[in-house]
Amino acid sequence: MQNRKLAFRTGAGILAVAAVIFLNQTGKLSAVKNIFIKGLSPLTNFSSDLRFFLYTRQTSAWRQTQEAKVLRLELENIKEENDKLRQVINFKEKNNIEFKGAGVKFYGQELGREFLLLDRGRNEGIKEDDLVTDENFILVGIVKETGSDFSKVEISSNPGQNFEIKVAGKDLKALAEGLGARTFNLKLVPRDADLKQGDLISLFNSGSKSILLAEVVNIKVGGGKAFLDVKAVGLGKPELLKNVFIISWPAK
Amino acid sequence: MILRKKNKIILLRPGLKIWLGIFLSLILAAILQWNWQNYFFIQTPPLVIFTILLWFWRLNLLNRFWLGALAGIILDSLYALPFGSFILLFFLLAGFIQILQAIISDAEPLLTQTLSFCLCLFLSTSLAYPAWYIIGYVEKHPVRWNGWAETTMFLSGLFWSLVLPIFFFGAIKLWRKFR
Repeated sequence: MQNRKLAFRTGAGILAVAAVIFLNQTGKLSAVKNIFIKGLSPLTNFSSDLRFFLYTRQTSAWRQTQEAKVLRLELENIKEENDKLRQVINFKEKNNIEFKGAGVKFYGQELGREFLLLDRGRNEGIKEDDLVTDENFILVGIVKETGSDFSKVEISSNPGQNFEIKVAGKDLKALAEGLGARTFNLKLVPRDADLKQGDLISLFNSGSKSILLAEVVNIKVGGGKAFLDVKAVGLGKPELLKNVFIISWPAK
Repeated sequence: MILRKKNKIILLRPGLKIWLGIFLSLILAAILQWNWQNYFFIQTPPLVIFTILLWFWRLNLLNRFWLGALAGIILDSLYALPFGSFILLFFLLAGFIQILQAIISDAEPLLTQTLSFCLCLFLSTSLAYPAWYIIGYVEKHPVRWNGWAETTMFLSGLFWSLVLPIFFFGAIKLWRKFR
C-alpha cells in the first residue's frame, strides 16, 4: 500500500515537472516568472545593497584599474590602426549596432555558474544573444533569456561560453572558452605566437572602441603540441555592477 | 507537529512556524551565497541546496515535493538555466532521500548522518549538470558542454560536498558536547 502511494506520488511529481517544462515552452509561464521576479525584488535589492556596502573600497580600486587597462587597450588600437578615438555615437553609426542601458536587479551564483538579472526585456528590444558590457565596454556576459521586462544574462566566463577573440596590438585571433571562476582558456593559439603575460584580449575590434574580455595570466608551452596552453582572467566584475550596456546586433 | 516513522526518523508536520523557519533559513543561505566573493576551489559553496537538503531530511515526501517545487521555481526564475532544471533536481533529491531514510535512521551515529548528507550534496552537484543538459535539450535551448570545465566543477562540487556537511555536523556535535 505504501509502495503504491509512493509510486503514485512519484509519478504525479514527474508529470508535474513535465507540465512545467511544456508550459515554459509554450510561453505561458512568463507571467509566473514575472510574478516571482517582482516578488523577490526586496530580497534581490537587499542582497545587491549589502554587496555594494561590503565591497565599496574594492569597487573604487577595481574601477581605477579597469580604466587604466581600457586606456592602454585604446592606445594600442590607435597605434595599430592610426585612427582617432571615436565617440560612442560614432561607434554605433559605423557598425550599425544598437546599444541600450539597463539596470542590474540581481546577481547570483549557483554550482559554479554566475548570472545577472536586468530590468529591461523584450519590450525594449533586447534579444537573446545580445552582448552585455559595463560602462567601460568590458564584456560581462550574453543575454540568454528575455521576458517582457526582464533579461537573464549568463556571465562570459561560465563553462560552455565561447568567443572569437583578438589579442590587442597583435595580429592574433583565437578562441576563448569559459572555464568558470572568471577564467578563460584560449584555444588555437599557435606555438610561435608573440604572446606574453598581461596582454589584453578583446572580443572584436572596431577602431579604438573594442570590447575588452580578459587579460592573459599564464602561458604554457606543451611538449610537442602545435598550440600554446593559455589561460586568461576576465576583467569584468558583474557582482559590482549597477548598470550595464546591452549591445544588439542588427537582425540578419 | 512531529510525526514518527517506523525507522525512528523524526519528521516534522510543517505548520506556519516551520514554513517560516524554512523561508528565513533559505533567505539567509541565499544572501550568504550570493555575496560570497572568494573563488576558493573554483565554485562558491552551495549553501542554498545544502539548506534545502537539511529541511528535506525532516519533511515527509509530499512536503519535500512542495518545498522542492517552490524552491525550484524560484531558482529557475532567477537563473539563466533551462527552466525546470532545479525543479527536476529537487524532485530527484526528494526521492533519493526517501530511499536513504528507508535504510538509515535517527538512531545512527552522527557520522553516518554526516556521510549521508555528503552523499546527498554530492548527488545534487552531480545531477545538476545532467538535469541542465536534459532539460535544455527538451526545451531546445541546449546547454553547451565543456568537458574540462565540467570536470573541474564536478571536483569542486565534490570538495564542498565533503566540507559543508562535515563542518555543519561537526559544529552540532561540539554544541551538544559543550551544552
